[in-house]
Amino acid sequence: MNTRKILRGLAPYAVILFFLLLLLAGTVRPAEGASSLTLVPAEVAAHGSFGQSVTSAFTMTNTTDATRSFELVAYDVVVRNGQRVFVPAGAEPHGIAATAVFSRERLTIEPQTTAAVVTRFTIPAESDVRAVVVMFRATGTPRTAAGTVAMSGSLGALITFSLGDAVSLDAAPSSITPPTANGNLRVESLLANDGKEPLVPSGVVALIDATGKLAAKSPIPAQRLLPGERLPFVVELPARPAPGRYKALSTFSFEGRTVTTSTDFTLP
Amino acid sequence: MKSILALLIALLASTAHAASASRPRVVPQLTSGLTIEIAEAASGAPMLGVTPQQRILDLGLLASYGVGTPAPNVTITQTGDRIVASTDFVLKVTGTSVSGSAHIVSSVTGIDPAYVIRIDGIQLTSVPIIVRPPAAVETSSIHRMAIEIPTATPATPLLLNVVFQAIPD
Repeated sequence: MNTRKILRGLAPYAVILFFLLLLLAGTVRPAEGASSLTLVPAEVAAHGSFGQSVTSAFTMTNTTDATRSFELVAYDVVVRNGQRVFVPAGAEPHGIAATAVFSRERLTIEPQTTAAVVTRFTIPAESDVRAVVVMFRATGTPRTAAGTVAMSGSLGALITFSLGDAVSLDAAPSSITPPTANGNLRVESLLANDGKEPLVPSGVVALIDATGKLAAKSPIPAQRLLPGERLPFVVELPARPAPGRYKALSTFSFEGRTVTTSTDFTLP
Repeated sequence: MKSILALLIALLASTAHAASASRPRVVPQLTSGLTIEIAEAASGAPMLGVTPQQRILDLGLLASYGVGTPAPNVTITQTGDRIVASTDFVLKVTGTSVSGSAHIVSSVTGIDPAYVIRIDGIQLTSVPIIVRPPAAVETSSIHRMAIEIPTATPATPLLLNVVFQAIPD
């Protein structure tokens, strides 16, 4: 893939996007009352292939009464021992964060205004990294007195890269927690992304009674799984099925595919 | 004239098709947006606030060569020539994300190597590390910050900035 050619092709779009966002930054006045910093979008899903560039635009809105300053820093997001780890740019072999180009590396946002930034990442010819975080790291520490510690809240945007067809999801049989006087029936399925691409599986659980009838059904909220990540997908069923034998069928869909687990259990 | 127009349209269409085949498909989740707030915990030390995203945690006069007076709800333990001051605070993430949840990472800037800062037992460095695992947005959580400093530290500003960042899962 000719990266330069792609970059050249993308450039006009990035420029237009950038100026549109700049225009937006000058005109948008966030609603008063809510004192907050908001980053939009907070996540971007890119589908492409190695060697391509991904251009994204972000806006940070400052509805506080204070001027806030940020520096933009990119980190590769990798999973080690089941935990997400943020690796500084350049430290991960064939990382994507090291290719980050920001339309500006520092932002200062006046109260009640919005500022925009365009980022571009170039996916290396080979890489196991499938996610980066663009950190809007707060700078400008407030003046502190003796015995005090400054604390700053800020935001980061997650960009995921789907670069191939090596998608695979491993679903373990569900574990069932029977309902109690204070709690609902709980179905927990442990899902592991054992492929190479990021996934956002969502699902549905159905309880089938001994006669084959549907006793209860509930959607299972989507969660993102980076390659190597393992998370419990939990759902509580508000229905209170009668005592008896049941089968819990949990079906998860991802990238046009499905995986189903079946667990037999008895409710006392 | 019509044939030229048709040719132009066909050319544009083929260019667009070729371009779309070689460009990545980028889907920004425009409905996703997060914000974060830092707040005082009922069981925590007083917090001075510029904004909900910019706070100053008042631990009191901590070391002052070992004779400091901590602020309310600050626990002090001393081991040898170091003291550990710890207190609670609240983090809240609001907004929306595809998975409906977010995690919080933390790092520290301007840290003096003589100090050690931990959030819920996790030692902070200049590289962000997850201090709150994935949790549903709109969820408040209480955390404990512990600062380990030498007792010989004079009553001067610690010049630390503990940064918390919310990131969608």
